[in-house]
Amino acid sequence: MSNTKNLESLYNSELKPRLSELNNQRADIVNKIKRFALYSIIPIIISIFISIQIQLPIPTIIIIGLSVLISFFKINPLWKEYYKQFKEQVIREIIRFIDDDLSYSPSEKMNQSKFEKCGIFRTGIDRYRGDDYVQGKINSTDIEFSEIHAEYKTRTVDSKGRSRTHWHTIFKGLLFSADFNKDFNTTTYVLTDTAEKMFGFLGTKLQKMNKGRGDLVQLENPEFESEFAVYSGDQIESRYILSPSLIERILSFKKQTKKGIQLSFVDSRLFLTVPYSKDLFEPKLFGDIVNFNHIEEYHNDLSLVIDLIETLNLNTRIWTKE
Amino acid sequence: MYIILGVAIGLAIIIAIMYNGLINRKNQVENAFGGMDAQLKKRYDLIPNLISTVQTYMKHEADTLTQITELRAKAVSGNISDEEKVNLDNMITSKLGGIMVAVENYPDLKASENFNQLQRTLNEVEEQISASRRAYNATVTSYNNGVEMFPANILAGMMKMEHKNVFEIPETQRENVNVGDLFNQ
Repeated sequence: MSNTKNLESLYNSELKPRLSELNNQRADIVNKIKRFALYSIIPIIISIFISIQIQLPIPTIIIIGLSVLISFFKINPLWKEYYKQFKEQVIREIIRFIDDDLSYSPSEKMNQSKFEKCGIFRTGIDRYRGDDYVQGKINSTDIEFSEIHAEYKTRTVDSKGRSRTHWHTIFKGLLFSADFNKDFNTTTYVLTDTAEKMFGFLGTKLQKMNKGRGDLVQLENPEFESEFAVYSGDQIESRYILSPSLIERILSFKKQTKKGIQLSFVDSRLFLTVPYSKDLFEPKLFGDIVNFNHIEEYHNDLSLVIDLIETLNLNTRIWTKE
Repeated sequence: MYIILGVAIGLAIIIAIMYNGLINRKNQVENAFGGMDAQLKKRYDLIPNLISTVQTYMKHEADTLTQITELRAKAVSGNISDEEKVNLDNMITSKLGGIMVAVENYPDLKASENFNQLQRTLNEVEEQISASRRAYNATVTSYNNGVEMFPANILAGMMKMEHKNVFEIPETQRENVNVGDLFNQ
């Protein structure tokens, strides 16, 4: 397994030269943006002047539109190339460093059907995007994950009859799936416990009445119970999955991430969602990128989920499932 | 007059809800005990198979193996109380645990594919038994809450529903977990 010291040596030997080169590309893009902005100023001022003279906003709109369009067509290909190079040369290398057997596809994502199958979020999806798909096998456990952004839309009509579409996030962050080390038939959900935190004893009553995901499973670990609400179609099987040691491990993982993680156990697989507000594994445009701290951040975000196999002890294969 | 009638109906409804709640909890306990029983039966089915596999190797543990066979025979014979069932199960658990530790002394046995498969199955069943015990304990806790909390406790007293004990996981059960760890090394 990797550690900071080795990461530092990887950074110094491999990543630093690549980053300096990429940083030149980045600086080039920023310079071009500045230059285009500068070139646009005079025509825009003139067009504003004309607009005031003829009392029509059209010339200004045309000129601003044109300058934005030209800048976009000139700069976008450069940005795309920089983006691609960054993923290939930096992110791929960090993943290889964490585990050699993992494969990485920057532009692919976990299928929408998998996101729906995991059942953690039940809102209908109108737009599903994602990237940074990682897949592979760690000992006997196969894993896959990617960044996901799932949204639904609503439409509002204002007083003038114009309709507008609003996009709302259902989930944004990492969707992770791994082969679980025990076989099971029913589905078990480990969800963030909001009702019990807010309403205490009454919250538990409310949860019991919510039968959409099966029965509420009350586990014996009070700390776990205050963080999560567990639902399952089978009281015994859910406890077979959530052994006392796994409960402890999930709790410590939650503390480690400090995020509202949620899990589900479907068809002998484990699904996990880790919400993030930032876009993950993306290159920066403004500011120097030759910086070990950035690399460490990418590394930590990646290894957090890859090391989950160790954290949750999924390579222990002492049960009938091999 | 109407007020008295209203209060009486209201009270009747509350009592009915409490009554049904208590019956529900009692039945859940019985159901969970049944679930546990089913898991224990799985293990009883496994024991003859296990014994026949290990006895050709394990000369020194012949006594223990006979004891396990006898305990199993008693457990599956039926007509025993729930308490006896639990006791027999505890004894079998501890003896089986001993056998599994002793396996370490027989490298041939440990290497055998047949035994390997059996051990996996046994681990699985042990895990299921432990899960069903925890499920049982959860229902007993919910039952005890119903029976002892005010005001349902008054009704429970009239229905002769008493506090039940949760399943205490014996010391040997914890050792069982170590068997899995040994297997890993």
